[in-house]
Amino acid sequence: MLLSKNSALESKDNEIFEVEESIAIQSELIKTMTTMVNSKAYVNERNQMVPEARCRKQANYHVEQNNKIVDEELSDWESKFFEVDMDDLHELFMAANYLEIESLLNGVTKRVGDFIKACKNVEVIRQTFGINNDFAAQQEEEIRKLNSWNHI
Amino acid sequence: MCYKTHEEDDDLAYFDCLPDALLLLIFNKLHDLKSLTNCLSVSKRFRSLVPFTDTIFISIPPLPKPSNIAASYINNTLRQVFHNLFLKPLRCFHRLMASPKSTTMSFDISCCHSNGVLRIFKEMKSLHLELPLHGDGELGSSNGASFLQWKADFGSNLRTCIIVGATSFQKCNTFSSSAICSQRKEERIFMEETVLNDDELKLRVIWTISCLIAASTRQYLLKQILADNPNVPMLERVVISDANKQGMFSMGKEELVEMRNSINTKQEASSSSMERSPVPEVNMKLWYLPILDLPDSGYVMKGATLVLIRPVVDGMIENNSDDPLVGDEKPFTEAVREMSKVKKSYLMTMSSF
Repeated sequence: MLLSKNSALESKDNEIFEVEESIAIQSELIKTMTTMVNSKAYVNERNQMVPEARCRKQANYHVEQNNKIVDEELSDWESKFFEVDMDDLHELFMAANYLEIESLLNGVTKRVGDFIKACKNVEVIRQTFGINNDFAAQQEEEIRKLNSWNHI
Repeated sequence: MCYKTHEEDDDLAYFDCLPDALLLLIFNKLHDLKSLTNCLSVSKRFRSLVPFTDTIFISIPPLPKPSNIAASYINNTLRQVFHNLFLKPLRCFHRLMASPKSTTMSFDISCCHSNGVLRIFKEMKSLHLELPLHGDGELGSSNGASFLQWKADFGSNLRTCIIVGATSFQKCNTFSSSAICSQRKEERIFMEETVLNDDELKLRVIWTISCLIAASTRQYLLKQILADNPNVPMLERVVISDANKQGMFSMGKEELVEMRNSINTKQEASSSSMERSPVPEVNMKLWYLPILDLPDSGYVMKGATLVLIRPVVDGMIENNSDDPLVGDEKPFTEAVREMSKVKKSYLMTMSSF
């Protein structure tokens, strides 16, 4: 019976995922929890998670694929995996942060960075991410002077 | 951490939900100075966090022509005339021998000046500058090099330089045949005995000199930048590459400390006329193969040459190839690996220039 090698993880909306242990402990959070439990022969370990079912599944999937694919294919797969819209990206971000999965976090932050790079100027950045401009006019002008070499 | 339901507009809450550490992680992965400076203007929160970014990549733009070029040319000429009055004749000779073209600063480093935007990033750990495409064509192309790449590691002076050059560099798809492979292996033993004639050797020395000049120009550039931006105590790594991907100048933590100390202690007024640091007396070890197959990269080199350069003060050059300099460029790395296996090599010493 292979159950002892798997962890069962429950997300907040009560969906249960069976995950191979070696994959589950890629999440630093789960790793810490399992060592705290201190039992090698656990069969079912239930953890309450905040992230929703879908993003947990995605994080799981990512980690799983990470273990299987060779370098070149991995980078192709990864770029497709992260080609999602802002909402999904945000969920992935939150999941990666909460579960402390470094590789997922790296992938997501890089993707957000790519979004920022693609923005031609400051206004586009604000629009893409929905950020309000809270500068006074004078402060904005000072910063603009710094950027004079930027030829925007 | 705030929790939101799906009904709300996610976008508006996106960045507000991210803790500062995560936002900084995004900035650390962004690298591009232009985007980072854009972020400075986005909001107060961004403005407060961006300066803590630890990795910066700057794609240095070329100087806009023509009026600036005229001004800088005049400045350079005047400066050269002025310094000529005080230069010893020998130095003149060295300068003539060395091509002056690559030393004129034809790119815009205003962002790195003491009042430029780079001064904001006081927590900078890693800095990568990419110089623009060389206006005069690739290094060495006027001297018969189809392929010429170098990697140099510097402290306050040159520490190591590895150069790979070839008179011909072409794609090749015929490595799969094992018959060809074994034939090449036999030929290789014969090829390793091939001797360079004087002209061929002289050509390679010219390649070496042009690479060393390019490397020392970058060191000079970095010295200026460090002098203008003294408050970067965390700086651990600097790389200066170019858009042609020909040369990589790098410095690690210890080397940066060494360089900073040398900036503080001595004035290098004499080298300012050349716009590059002087190259010390060096030992050169040169390997040569008339034909070199690079099956991993899929290329064939003719007239393949590997040169390893170290300053004379370090004594004999060991034949160890566990050099941290080789990394990214595939043909370069493979060539270094293959060429350093060749038993026969040439040893030379070059005086400083």
